[in-house]
Amino acid sequence: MRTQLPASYKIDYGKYFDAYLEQPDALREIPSEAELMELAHKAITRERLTLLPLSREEQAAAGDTATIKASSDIPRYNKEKVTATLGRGLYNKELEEALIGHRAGDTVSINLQDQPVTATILELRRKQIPEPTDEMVQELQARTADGRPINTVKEYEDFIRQEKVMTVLATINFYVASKILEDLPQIACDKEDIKALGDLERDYFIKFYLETEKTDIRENLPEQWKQNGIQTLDDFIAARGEWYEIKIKQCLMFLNILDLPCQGQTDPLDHYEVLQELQMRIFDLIRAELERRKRK
Amino acid sequence: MTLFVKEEDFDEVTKEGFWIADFMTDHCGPCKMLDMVLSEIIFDNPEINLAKCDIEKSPKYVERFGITGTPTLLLMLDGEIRETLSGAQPRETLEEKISESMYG
Repeated sequence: MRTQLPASYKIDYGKYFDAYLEQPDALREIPSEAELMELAHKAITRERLTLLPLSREEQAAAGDTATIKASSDIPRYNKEKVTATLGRGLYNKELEEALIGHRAGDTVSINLQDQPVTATILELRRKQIPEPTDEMVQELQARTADGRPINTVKEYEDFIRQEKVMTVLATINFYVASKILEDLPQIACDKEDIKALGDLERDYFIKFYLETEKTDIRENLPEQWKQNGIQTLDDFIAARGEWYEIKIKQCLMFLNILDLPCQGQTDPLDHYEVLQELQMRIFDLIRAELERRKRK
Repeated sequence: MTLFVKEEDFDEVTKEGFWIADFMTDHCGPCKMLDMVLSEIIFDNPEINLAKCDIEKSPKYVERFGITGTPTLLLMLDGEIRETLSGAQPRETLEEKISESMYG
């Protein structure tokens, strides 16, 4: 590729990564395998969940659903009948935790916001969670991102793993890459490079539509393109010039971060998927950075 | 409880208790992300009910609730809309809004 970053320019990836982690809502961890499995099983069984009433002798535990009568001068805690899951904190974590260990009929008093609050347990119910089965998964009629049906518990677990992990990596990458691009030195993209990327994309779309839709888009454009005012494949490629410039800059940025030369398999003019491949390597880098910081 | 709800059944279904009405489509990526978050919340807090409202299968929803994009959530207590949220939301934000709408 002719377009290049200045030879001496080196991106300090760690600096941008640290800046991301300083954001209050930053994603700081890839969910553990146990968390991912729990999430998958919750999604599969959520429609089969039942609540079984506890007897007067049984004590409330975290996660039980309690219906209570609450009395207080604070309107939120002055209700004839209110239902909450104990320990989740949606109603009030302190009050919910105070009810754990008590039985239906018991009354508990605590202070909230310097005001007395009294709660009487009217009813306690406990979740009955079935084991997830392939049949339950099939009833969800879920599909992967590329449209394949998900039929088994194992496939659903893989789907959740992929979705959740990719969400974390893509979110971090989006923030970090945007900030690096903002600071990238001004570079003029070579017109020949832009044209070559257009040619690659043209070939990619022709092949893609031939294989998936059995349509030659040189003769028959997709309906959605036509609705957007695209008359020919050349129109489409010409309208994508701005994207090719961004693609060039993104590739150069990723190559710089990864310390890779822009040649052969890593040259975006070599084949259509280079940017995607570089992005996957950046995702590996993000994983490693998260792990490194976690260990620290 | 999670139910797929058509527009004609919506009022009857959501008239009692706390409901999250999730206006979504099958092909919307952010809807799927949000569905995972909702799954966790519903599972952990069974007193919350979820009404899945597919606006392609029941287009009347769009006009009735002024839905301009998916996903859109309505947080409803005893049939009354307490909050409207647009776009995928992180779990913490959703729980905060649910807490305000359900008990506030």
